[in-house]
Amino acid sequence: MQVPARIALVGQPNVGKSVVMNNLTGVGAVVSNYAGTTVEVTRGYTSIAGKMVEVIDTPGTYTLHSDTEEQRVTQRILLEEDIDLIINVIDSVNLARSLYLTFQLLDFGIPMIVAANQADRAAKLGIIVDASQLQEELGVPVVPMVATANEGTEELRKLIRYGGAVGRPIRFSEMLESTIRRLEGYIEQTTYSGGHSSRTLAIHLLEHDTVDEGILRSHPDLVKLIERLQTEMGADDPFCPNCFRGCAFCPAKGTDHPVFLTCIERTRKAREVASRVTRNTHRDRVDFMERLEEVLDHPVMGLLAMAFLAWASFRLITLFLGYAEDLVEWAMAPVASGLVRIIQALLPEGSLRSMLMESVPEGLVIPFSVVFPAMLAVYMFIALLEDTGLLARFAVALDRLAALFGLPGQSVIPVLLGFGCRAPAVMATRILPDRRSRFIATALIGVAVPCAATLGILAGVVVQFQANAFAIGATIVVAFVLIGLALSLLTAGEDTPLVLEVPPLRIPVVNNVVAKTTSRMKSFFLHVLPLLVVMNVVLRALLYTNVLTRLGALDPVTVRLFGVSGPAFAGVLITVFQRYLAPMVLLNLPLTAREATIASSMVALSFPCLPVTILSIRELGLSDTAKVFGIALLAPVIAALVLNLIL
Amino acid sequence: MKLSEARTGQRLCVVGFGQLGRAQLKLMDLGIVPGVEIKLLSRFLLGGPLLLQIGRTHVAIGRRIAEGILVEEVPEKD
Repeated sequence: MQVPARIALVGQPNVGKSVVMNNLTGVGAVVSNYAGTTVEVTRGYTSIAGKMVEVIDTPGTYTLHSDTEEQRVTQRILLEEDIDLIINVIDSVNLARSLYLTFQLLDFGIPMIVAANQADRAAKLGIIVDASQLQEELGVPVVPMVATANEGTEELRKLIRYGGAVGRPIRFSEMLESTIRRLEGYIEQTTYSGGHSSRTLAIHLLEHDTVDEGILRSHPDLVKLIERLQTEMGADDPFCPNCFRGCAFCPAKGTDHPVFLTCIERTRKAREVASRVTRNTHRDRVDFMERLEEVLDHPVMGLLAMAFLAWASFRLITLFLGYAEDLVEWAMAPVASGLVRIIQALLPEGSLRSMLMESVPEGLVIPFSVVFPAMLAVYMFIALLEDTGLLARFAVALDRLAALFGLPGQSVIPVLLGFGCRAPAVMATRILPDRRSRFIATALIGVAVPCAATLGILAGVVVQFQANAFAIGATIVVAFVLIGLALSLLTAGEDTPLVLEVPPLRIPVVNNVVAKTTSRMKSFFLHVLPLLVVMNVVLRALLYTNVLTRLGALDPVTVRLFGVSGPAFAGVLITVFQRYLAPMVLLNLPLTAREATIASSMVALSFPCLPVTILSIRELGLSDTAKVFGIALLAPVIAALVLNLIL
Repeated sequence: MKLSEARTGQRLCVVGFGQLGRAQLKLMDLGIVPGVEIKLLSRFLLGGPLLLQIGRTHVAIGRRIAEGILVEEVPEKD
């Protein structure tokens, strides 16, 4: 057997797939968007028997219909990327549910290994999975794992060397099988050669899979086949000729329960196999985590507990920021003075030199002392929320509240991410079920959610000018609520109700939290930091050449309307490019406390930055992004008018 | 009865679906299919979501989805 060249990791959400990935490939893995989509795919390499093997971590998905982007991307990877081996990570605790996807994967006819993860949690719950019997049932090697403790990784590596095995796909009931056979026969008469076996394509046709619709379009004789089938289908056929779905009680036939036969049969088979291979022993005790779950999932106690948790983490983050700022500034001091000496040595004396001597160290120190700790804290906080299983619980608890804004509870996730960086937040709106909620969430994130970088520098502005932090915070909250309410009323459409798996509470794996935080921080160093330094130099140059003071000519208008000076207003306008750059302008101007409060509030609400704009256009299209900009134009202006009146 | 009418802590058997459209597929992918036993763990306040247990999985569903899931009570075995 040859060592496979390319492996795909496939599994459902919350099975610990990313930890298995980490164990196999270590830190070198690269996260990137799958071509033409916003779905993130991680690729890395691992050495098996002296050979470098590529490992592709597919997005977590419960099933392989083509309903969501994640499902389509996973299917495309399996069909188009010459995968030699699938490692299907399953959850030993939820074997029945996991096997549902396993059965779909078996249809692909690609060699496979099953990694039965979370064996420790299963054992604690008194569930013992008989790996060798499961191996027998599926026809593929099965390895029990505790990925979080790196147990089973060596075993998995050994199995990878032998390339896995093509398992036995499940047999459906005779009624389904006869139809599948008939379809298969027809497919074999066509020129189809799209990667699926004819059986898999037949099953997918029955399930009305949209990837296969794409295949159909490029195979005209398959389309003819469908037309032929449609005329052949009789009244007593189990399949509706309208859509080829396995609808046992299709409404087109007069009864009222459209049910996917293949789904039901696969679920039943999965439950059968799961109960054959698992033994339920006496469980020792309800563990602490489960008791905690009961509290958190209680309608009243849970809400109180989560409110406390949110408050505590907020306090913790602010405390951390206080210490971190001094520490980083102290640590950066030698770097800054070193830079000053380098510039001094390189450049001749003059205004350029003194300008650079001031702006370059400042452009480096401010992002490190103010922005860096804030982003680090928020990213770590979010990674912890994700890995403990608390994020999903917040989504459930806040579902009713979010509904006021026309949003489902899951929107907590992109909105929270926005307080870290809004670019990934806009991408995360993909998890929302419909276009309307994606639009509202993107608008809220783009306008009323200040990212960690902005918050960090705004905090600097507040300290320097003794601005009113409460007023700025209140402005953000009020704007968020008003924009949400208004958009919910103005946009048409019903809100899509929630269907969300709530993962068990877990103690997070330190490695995983660190890996997530660092991979997110990397983009900060690569993209944001250089921009901040360059912009700071440009700003200093503007100050030196007195361009900004000339904007003082705008004072009569801006002071009357908004209560801020002309140059400060110009600073607000700079947010079009990068929101967190605006406070850097403000820091360099002479402002009163009141001016700083109003200007900071405007900055906290203004335009989405360039990366967010680009992503919004990609996610929502031009016209909806234009609407977001309309809101972004109105919000800070109205906020400033109101603040100018009441402060 | 509809799942939305069930009591917290009740053990139930899914018997069918009302008009749920695409959401039905999502439920089925999570293992909520006719014939499966579920348990209602919790209902959140003010018409909030319901928390279900299917096997070892916990799933939260909106109130309107719960209205589209038809269930029967499973008698307690002693």
